[in-house]
Amino acid sequence: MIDVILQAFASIVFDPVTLGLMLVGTLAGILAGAIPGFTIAMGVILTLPFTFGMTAIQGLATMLGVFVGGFSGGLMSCMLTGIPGTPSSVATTFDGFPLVRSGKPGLALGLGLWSSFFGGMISAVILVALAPQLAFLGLEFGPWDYFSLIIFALTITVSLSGGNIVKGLIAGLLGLFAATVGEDEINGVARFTFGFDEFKQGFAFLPVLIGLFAFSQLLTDVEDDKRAKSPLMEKSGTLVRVEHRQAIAIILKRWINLFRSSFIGIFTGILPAAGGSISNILAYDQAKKASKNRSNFGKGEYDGIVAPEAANNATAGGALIMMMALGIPGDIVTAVMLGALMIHNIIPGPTFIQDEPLLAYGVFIAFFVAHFFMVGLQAFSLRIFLLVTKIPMYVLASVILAYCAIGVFALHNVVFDIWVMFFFGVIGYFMKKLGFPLAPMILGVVLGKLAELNLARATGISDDLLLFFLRPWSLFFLIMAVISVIFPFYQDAEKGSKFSNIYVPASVFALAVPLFFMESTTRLIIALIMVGISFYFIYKSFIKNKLLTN
Amino acid sequence: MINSSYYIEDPGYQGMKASYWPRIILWLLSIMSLVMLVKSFANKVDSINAGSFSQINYMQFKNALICFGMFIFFLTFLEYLGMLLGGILFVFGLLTFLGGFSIKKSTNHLIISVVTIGVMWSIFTFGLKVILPEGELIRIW
Repeated sequence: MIDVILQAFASIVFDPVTLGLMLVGTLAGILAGAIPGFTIAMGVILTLPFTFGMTAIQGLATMLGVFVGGFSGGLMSCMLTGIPGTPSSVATTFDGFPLVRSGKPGLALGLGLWSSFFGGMISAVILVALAPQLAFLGLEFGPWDYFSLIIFALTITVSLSGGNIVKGLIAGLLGLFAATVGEDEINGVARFTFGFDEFKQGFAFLPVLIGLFAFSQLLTDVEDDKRAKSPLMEKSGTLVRVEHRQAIAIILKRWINLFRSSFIGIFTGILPAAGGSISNILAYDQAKKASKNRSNFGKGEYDGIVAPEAANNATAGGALIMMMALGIPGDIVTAVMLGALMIHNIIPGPTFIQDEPLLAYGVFIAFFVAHFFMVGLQAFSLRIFLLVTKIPMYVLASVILAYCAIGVFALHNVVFDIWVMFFFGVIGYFMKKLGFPLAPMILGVVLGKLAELNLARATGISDDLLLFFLRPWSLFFLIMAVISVIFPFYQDAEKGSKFSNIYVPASVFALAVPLFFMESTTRLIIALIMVGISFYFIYKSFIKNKLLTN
Repeated sequence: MINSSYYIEDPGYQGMKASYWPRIILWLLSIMSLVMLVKSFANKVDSINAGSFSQINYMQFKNALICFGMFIFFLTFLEYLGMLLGGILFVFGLLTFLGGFSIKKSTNHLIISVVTIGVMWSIFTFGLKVILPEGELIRIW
């Protein structure tokens, strides 16, 4: 194992080409994260066409650079202008901007930057430790369990993407349907081709993704005539000197907050679809609740910067854990990385780390290294950021639209792919207008073929559909899927209502049931603890209700 | 689509048929759409504020429609113009439509489109060795 890690380390650190690509990727990520209207996912998607000509590790390392850079890029715009560059830096604005306005811009940037760095480092360590273990667990999965896991990934994406759950489910199903067009993987039978030869290959995943996400986003960005013509930022801030030493000292004094927020980030990242946009607010909220200086939050409190920034970078590691261990993307970015791996004929799954150890550990190392680049590039990227923000959105959008077309063509050298991108771009744009979330659709497209393949394998082994409910892991994921579908109703339920009181203990109890059927003492103990927790919750709400009625 | 799923060929192999999975999805989609329709009827809408198609502000989609139009134009003529020339025309046209027309602006737009597409074309052609569509026009030339 050590020799594999060393080899992977050498393939990244001693390869000037890979290092150079990562450097450019990180810089591009910082800028993508800093510009409002652009997201990290878009940055990674736009990087993808450049990676076609690279080796798998070079491509992944470049995209990881964009991914990691993007999380820290958001803090520049939110601190200097008060406008979050990405949704994952919204909570940083609450205290970052006031601290800058109080005359400490260098310290504010330093706190954000180093919190991102430490959060990323903690999640990198967890990634290295947890991903192989989770992959080991994944080896227990049969096709029934895998199919149920995909169903869970889709339902949780629907419930966490916000808005109407029915619209989310429709979006997810549309994504699954789009993946069925063309020859099926099992029998090679053409489906929904309507006589067009081009349809036989199906819709390539990347043109669909670029269309749904990047193309539709660009159209939204230029929608407003006035906004499209004005510079990206009216007030783009001024150049400041980052206070590194002071910031590190302050963060290390707040190590509990740092670790708590990082773990919140990692956990959120592991959940499919729950990315940095959720983790930064969750971590901020927890930091505020745990702080003795709650009244200072919103006025430039240091903890209010450390928490969201540590959490959002840690999310990246969490999302990678799921992708590396089980082949299930944690968010849109890891979905794109999954696509990049597929271009190189590598299918991530539970055996990925075993089969491709050099590549897998290369990803871990690249994730580490990208954080050092992120810190090193901050001062330089700040200068470029100030320049880029003077460009009007319509110029950027026009150029990127053309770039999307060239990039998509480069995938298979067929013009049909550009039409596919355009078609899904139009669909994505109108879906967004009508309030349909795009994340479930994207995940549906990514996981559609895998879901069908596992369903076919499962029914091929046995036509007993009850096995989906009788196999412990499959049942576990199906229960998780039901819990995630009900979750939005729990969020909307009145606090103290019967439903809100019963939801958590019932969910914990239901999840404990399949664990009892797994042949492992550890899992039996976990199941017993879960049952205990659920009874404790019921007892607590019973006492509370009794007190209220008295 | 559901109807079309009944015409999917069955090669007679053992195991799951090719039409099975899409049909599940399509039926679920139909059910969800029905739920949405019922919900939309159930939601009380203020009849005065409820907009009709004629009241929709189509101007808000103006820029998006321009992008659609330019993209269709670009794709339709890609075979003749090629990626380099077609790309330059696409970016220049889009910049002009979205950013407005004046001699100064148009000059800037032309420079931006030539430089950016030129750089991208060079990276893909020489750097990544991708053979981008040359276009009949350039070939004849």
